Amino acid sequence: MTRRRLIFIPLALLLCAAVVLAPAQVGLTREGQNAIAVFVLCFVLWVTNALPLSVTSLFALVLLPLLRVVPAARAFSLFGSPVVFFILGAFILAAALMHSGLSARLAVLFLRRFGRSPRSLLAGVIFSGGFLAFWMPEHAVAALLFPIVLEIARALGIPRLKSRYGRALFLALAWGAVIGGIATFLGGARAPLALGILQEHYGLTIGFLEWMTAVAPFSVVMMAAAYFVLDRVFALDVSDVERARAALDVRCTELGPLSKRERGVSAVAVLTILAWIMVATSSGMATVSLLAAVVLFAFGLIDWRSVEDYVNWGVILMYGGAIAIASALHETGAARFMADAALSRLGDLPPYAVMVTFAVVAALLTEAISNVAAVALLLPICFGVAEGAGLPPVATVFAVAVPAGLAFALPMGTPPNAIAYSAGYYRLRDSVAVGLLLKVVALLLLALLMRVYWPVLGIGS
Amino acid sequence: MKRILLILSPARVSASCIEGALEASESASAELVVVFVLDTTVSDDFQARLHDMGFLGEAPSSQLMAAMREEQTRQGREELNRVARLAEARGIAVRTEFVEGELVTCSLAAAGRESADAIFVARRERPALSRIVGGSAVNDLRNAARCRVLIHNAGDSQDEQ
Repeated sequence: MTRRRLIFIPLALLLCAAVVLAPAQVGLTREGQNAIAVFVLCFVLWVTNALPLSVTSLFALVLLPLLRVVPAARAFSLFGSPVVFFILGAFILAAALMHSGLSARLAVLFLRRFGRSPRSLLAGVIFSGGFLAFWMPEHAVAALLFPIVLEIARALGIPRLKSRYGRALFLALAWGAVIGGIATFLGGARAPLALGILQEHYGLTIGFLEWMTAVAPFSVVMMAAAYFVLDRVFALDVSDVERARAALDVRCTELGPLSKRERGVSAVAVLTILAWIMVATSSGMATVSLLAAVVLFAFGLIDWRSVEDYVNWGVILMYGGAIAIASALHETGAARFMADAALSRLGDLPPYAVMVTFAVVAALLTEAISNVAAVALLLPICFGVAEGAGLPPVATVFAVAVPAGLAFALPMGTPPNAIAYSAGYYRLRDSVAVGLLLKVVALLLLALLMRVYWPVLGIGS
Repeated sequence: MKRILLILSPARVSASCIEGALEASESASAELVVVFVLDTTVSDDFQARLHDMGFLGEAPSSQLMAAMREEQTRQGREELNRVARLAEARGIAVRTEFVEGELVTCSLAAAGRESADAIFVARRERPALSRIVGGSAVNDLRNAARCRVLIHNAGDSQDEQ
């Protein structure tokens, strides 16, 4: 057993027991108190990663009926949330994109088109990662681009840790994927999880197009902002990228002509995205998602072994558990109790100020912990505060889930950061300093978005 | 003849550590043995975190780790050659070795095999809290080694113990 587990699992259990055994609180039911105990346990385990995120979720599912917070049947039924099935289908589609080689082809073609000068190549890395993360999970995009960007760095003869361009290139790899990942429900796990919690709490939903219209323009502006920050901070010390272009040409030749499988997968992907855009409910999105998966299998575009290779089923457990905890907090009144206890003064602020506060808290928390965990921990409490402040639940979802995806500074914040950092081309202090700068830019732009653009769409007004 | 052991690894990059080992070898007329350890526990831990946190599937995860391993091997061999050239330029007898495994085990094995008089190693760049909670391979090496262990911080600040 690792030292981390030895310290934090007993600590989590101890805190959980302390809350369960604490004297009854005024305004809180026994079930509510026990729901908070489970929440505290998950908080410690999710923040410290003492157990895999999905195992912590399973633990919560066990504890909720054991502590009589909700009946076992109710807790397990939350795995049947439409959002879980939406994610299931979306991950199978992403698996087909990767397995067919279509995603790699798109990345190489995009970079080849952009890679004419050091600046345009840098922009190409950000925008190709960002664009791909619109349609597939951001961590898969970072993993896909990693060997390509490494090859570019090698072709340019960039020395490790000593080149400003090398630092910029690998930060661009991480940030492009991260920023693109917020634009749709497909780029990251946060938005669908937030959608699932919203649906369980209030019976409300956010359509694929509605989310994209609200967030994709911000995502594109953020990609441009990331480019300018990198360009300004790391005065680029490479003048010619001809060798990188040659390396990309070789990769392009190796890919060969577009295969039948790639054509088939691209057709299914385009039709699926169009269908997602046209349906406005999460159950509709789940139906489309599963139908797309069936079509992929029916036409032999993917087989189950490949799906097993590309999909990590832990995500489903994480979702089910996180939605169950959030529902238990809401149904027992514990979320409102915690919101009143911890953030009661926020309720007196105007809704816009409350949204900005949510965004700042989510943006900071996501640097230290997984962004899915940040949403799972914050959203139930924020719903409680929002009710007091008169902020609509849909606006709360946007205010928490969008900034929760913007982890730029630390490798532990999100897998794309960890992947880029592992190449060894920049130091931790590089990503912390420049990442925090980009974080400030992101929060300023987000505050502007909340003030000017989202009210036009009816969000937050 | 005295022997100084310099341990390098992908996450432990410190110019002051290399310089310290070169100076010690030069002043003691010792042979410098440079060992680059491709620390497999770090990559295993990293892969596990990608699985747990990023929900990365088996195939992309394996492809990513293969690319990472190839890059770290290339960087390791380059670093060994670079340090060897630095040593030779100063007239120091030098040997290099590339090994894969757990840092403490590989370092202790090399120290025992070479009968090293001192070990130079750098700490990974990470928050102090993470070191307290997660433990420190460099501390374990210092406690287990039979010779002096001189520890530098990755990022060049000198911290002799």
